[in-house]
Amino acid sequence: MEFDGFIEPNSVDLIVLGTGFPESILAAAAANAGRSVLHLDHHDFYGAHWTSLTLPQFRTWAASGGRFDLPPLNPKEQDTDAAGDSQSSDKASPDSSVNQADGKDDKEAHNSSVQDPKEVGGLEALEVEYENDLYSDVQLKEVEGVDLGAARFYNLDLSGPRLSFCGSHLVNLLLRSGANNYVEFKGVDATYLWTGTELSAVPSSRADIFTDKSLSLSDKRFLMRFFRLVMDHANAEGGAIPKETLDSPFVEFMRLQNLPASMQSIILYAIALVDTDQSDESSPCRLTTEDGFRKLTLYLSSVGKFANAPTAFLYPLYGAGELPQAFCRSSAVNGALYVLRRPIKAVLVDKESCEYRGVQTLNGQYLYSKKLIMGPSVVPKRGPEDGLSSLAKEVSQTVEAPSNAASASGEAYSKIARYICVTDKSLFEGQTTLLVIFPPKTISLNQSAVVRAMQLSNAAAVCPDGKYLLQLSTLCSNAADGQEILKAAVDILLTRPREEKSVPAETSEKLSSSEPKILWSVSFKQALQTDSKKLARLGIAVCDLPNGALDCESVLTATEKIFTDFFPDTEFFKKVAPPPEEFEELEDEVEALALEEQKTTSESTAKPEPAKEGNLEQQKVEGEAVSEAEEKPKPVEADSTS
Amino acid sequence: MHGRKRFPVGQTPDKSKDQAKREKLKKLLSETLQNHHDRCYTKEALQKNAQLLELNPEFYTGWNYRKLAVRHLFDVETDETVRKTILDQELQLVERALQSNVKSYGAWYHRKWVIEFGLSSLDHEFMLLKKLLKVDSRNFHGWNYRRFAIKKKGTTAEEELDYATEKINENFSNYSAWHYRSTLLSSVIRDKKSKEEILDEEYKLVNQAYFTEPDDQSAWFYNTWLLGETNSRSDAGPHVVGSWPENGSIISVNIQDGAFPLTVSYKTIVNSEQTFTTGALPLVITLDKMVSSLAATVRVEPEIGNPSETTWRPLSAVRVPSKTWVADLPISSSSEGKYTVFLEVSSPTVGEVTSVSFNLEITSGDPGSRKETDRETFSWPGKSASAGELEADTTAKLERLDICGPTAEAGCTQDTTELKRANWQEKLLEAQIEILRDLLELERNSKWPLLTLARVLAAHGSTSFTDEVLELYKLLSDINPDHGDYYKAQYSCLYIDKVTRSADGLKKLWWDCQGSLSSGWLRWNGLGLHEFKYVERLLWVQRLDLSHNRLRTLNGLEALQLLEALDVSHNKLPSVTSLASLRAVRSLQYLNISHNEIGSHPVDTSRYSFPSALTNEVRDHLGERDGSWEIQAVFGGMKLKVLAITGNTAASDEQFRKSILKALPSLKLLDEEEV
Repeated sequence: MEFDGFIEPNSVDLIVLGTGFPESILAAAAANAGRSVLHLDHHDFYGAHWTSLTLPQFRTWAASGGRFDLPPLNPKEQDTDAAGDSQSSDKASPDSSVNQADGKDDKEAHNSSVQDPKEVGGLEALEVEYENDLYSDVQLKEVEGVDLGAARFYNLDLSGPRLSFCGSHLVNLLLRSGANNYVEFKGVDATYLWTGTELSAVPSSRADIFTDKSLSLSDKRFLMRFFRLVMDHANAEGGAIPKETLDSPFVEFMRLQNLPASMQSIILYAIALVDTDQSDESSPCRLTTEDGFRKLTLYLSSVGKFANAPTAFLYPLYGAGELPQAFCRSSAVNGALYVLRRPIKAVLVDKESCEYRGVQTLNGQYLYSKKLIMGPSVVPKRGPEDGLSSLAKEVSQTVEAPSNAASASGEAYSKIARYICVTDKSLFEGQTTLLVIFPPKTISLNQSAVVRAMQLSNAAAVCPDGKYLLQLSTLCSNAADGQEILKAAVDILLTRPREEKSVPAETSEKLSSSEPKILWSVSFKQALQTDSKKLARLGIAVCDLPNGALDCESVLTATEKIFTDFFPDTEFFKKVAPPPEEFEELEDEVEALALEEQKTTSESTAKPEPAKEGNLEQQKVEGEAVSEAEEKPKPVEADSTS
Repeated sequence: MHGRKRFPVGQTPDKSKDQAKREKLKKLLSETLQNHHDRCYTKEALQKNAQLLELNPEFYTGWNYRKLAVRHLFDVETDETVRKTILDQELQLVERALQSNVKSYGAWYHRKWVIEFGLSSLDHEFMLLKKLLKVDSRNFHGWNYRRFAIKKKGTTAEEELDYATEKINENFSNYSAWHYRSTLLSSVIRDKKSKEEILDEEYKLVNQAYFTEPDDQSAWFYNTWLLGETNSRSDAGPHVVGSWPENGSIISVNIQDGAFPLTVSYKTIVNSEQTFTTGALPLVITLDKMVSSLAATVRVEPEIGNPSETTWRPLSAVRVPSKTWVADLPISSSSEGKYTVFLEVSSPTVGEVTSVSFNLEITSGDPGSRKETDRETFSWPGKSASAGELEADTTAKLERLDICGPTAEAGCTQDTTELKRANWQEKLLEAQIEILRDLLELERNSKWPLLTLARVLAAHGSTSFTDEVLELYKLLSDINPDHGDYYKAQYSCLYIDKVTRSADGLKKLWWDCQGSLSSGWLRWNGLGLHEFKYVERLLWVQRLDLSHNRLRTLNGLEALQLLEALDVSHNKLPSVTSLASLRAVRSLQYLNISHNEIGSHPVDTSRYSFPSALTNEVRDHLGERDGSWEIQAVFGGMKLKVLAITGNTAASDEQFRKSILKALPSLKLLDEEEV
């Protein structure tokens, strides 16, 4: 049967709106637990705010001032959103016209199911819209006459830089959900910390500390002793450190342990990855010792976990947008139904109990479920005439507590400044995948939050061979211009004295040509979580926006909480049985005999075929996205950890 | 392999599989043995054998069979490429066999054997080694094979050093890599200058390791090696470290009534007298290294009697080479007068001549005072000393002892021959002392830095450090009681070193039992000593108390040619043979070996752990086939008057006592009983 735009079945356990990272995990977790799941996204790509875009996609996005064009709307609504419609033709999506036609077809063929919400017994339709002004100050700079290589080879993260710890809960979940079959990782080669005068390598293992010539003998001792203390605490039954110490600020604790300031800085910003200045005693978001220990333990257990990952961090091949996709695939394998380009118009709630009952799609279909999970951009429709503004107010009382991460980021920060550029050279010769941390006040005195920069390359399959991507981000308030600080950080990275600088001053011209040049850049700001506009009812949960953290752990914590609230007695990803030998390899790192090694590594680099047992309809709907993903080039030096 | 998880015992594969494997092995084994017997080297037979070795590489007959087969095939095939193919197949088989057991000696040996033909590529071997040592970086088969391959390839030690660095950087808890490094460096160090630079760099490297992880032993062991290298003297010696009579001393010899015995009077910390019945004055030279022959001349001015060639006898338990040499200076009644004796020892390696001279006075007639050493006046130093309790203040106890007698003028054997260390060695040691002190600031009471600091300070040798080192060993035995014995022994050695350096110090260890100076004892009791050191400072000693120590051997004591009484009760001497070195002490009359472990050990291990001349030849020569031959061999030449053996397991054995009495006809008292 030709796809007619109507979704069958129209009643499921859970509807998920938006394919962002937390939404996809929740869909996968519910499907994994045997619930029937319908996963809709109004975009024509996966990942929502967590996606990775190609160069042309990014250009389009930037040209529209950081808005995602909604797919063509129902003809009835077209006049209300003229701008979005006119821009949607730019996409030249062959499907768009079909979709529009489908909409008409739906209306005629299934007239009965497109009832006025008032006529549906006891239900009230709360009209919603998609917030599209999360991004601001978008500035895109093209450089004339520069060859950027094949545009489709680029995968630019909208929420970058973003990494995960090798030993993180995320990696654990990937394994448990089976989503590890659909994503591969590149280990980060090295981490550097900007001290204000130089980039110093962050030691990540005992061997690093031993070989690092920049650390003094006593620094080595302090650092190792501190690591030991942390691991002893983690291994001791009930912990080895008293509670009041654990509640004290981590900075104070480190000071008491006689850690030199340089080491404190490394531990806070490059290992515990805090976002804001910790030396300020009045700051409300100082890391507690307990949290600091947790982060350090995670870091230490991450180092050396995978043979191919030299540091504690992993980056997904083809961009961070692969992560939500991988979870979507695993949930499709477990029977979830996927439909892209399917916006909704209203949320249906019970008039009496105010409980959630279902949604109405923009093309008029009513879909029912017990629970609803929404991405952050679905908001109650504004405007005086629909009479819902009062609802929007009362809603805020029932809103889920915002994630730890959002609060940890502090009230002072309402936005994240992000910056992406393409360069022609690596910052460090011989290293492709790098993380650079600029602790607060190391770039300028008004730098109050940490700036993080990540260099990626063809090795992570995010740009063509010979090009390098730099992604930077920092938290900023509305007033302070985070972009200025990011620009300064990029300058430091690009113009910092090279090691190969042994030539005298007169050849400085030649020297400057050895610095990496910016070939393309974009900078923008993303709003942080805003609670006030959320639509919440019993049976509805709203997921987070990307936050300022480097890793995904805080988002995962909030996500897991949503799941346990919705499905109290259900395990968050019960272990599916992945191919056993692969699993062992990851878990125990059973090392093959020297002589067998070659054989096993050639096996492990072969990526397992994604299972194609998903719903047929879903296959068709995401057909385009899938084929596009498969077009992407294979990475040159794709290190695999799965 | 190291650091691997052990698989649960219960998880053995199912038995039917096991059974099938067993059957298969049995079949292959009998076929291989049959083929071996028939000298059948067909392709099929070799394949069967290969299957067997893959399953069980420990079956060395299988490897030997293959060696024969390869030789056989080489007889037929002379073409080099064909030969190479044969060898390549062998190498492949070894690889497969190593997969079932990477530590199979037979497989590794076979590989070496194949490579020795020189037809195979060594690059492949290095590639294999790289993989193997990556998986198990402390596999000694791998390291051994690497040494072999390096030798074959002709790689220099300098080049190979990079590999050691790489492995250490990967993981510095790798004894193998550190050890490899030390062996390579030994061949890289050629001159003093390169040694200075290399050692400095190595210290920097090893410092990084133990500052990162002070509890990791591998770096400390390497540090100990470095310390040895730093402290080694550039001039290898041997040097004269002690003599009797000592340089500058005055020796009076009284010949009674124109006949023997000689009464020799000399002065150390006290006035001493000793009687010799041989008519000759013993001359003793002690060196810091063993030599197999001593080039030394004895010159007496004016000439004494008829000049005759003096022969130097080695005094070690195994004869040659020896550290201690003795010669006899014959003295006759006709040679009354004053003489100066010169001993000139030339070092065989350095070529320098050390000369020792002393004054000799020969008189005859009434000696004035006569020494009475009958059993009536003789007594052991007593049981007041309890077994070595270090913290029970060895110092305090010893200082309590009554020191009497005149202040020594000549002084005891001063260790003046100690050679100067080069400036750079001193500098390196001082730098290390600084660094270790820094580490101890951070890691109080951490045993490795404490022990190493003690060793470096001791190696530095400055007397200003001695008390600190003693404190360090005391602290160590407190914080690490498991190795308390070792620390106590180190403490004692150092303590003895300290006190024996000067006459005043020696007096602290002097105990006069009967108010008569000459019958005083030097007491080294209760010190936890494991070995007898600094013998060169004690060549003059006549009565020595070594009771309540932990001695397992008396090696070294042979140098004490004036010794007449020895108390080694309450030690750990395991057998009669452990007393063997006393055979050379001809003046010994009183011996206390009570409360040792003689007879407690069914196997006489001291014959293996310490060099001894008591081989089977001695036994055969004595013609004693029973258990008493050792007694005869050890005690046979002695002239003991008093012997105490009680408290040994063997002491209750009547046969043992009988054998002793037979071997010692001179004995008057055995365990306080008149013979």
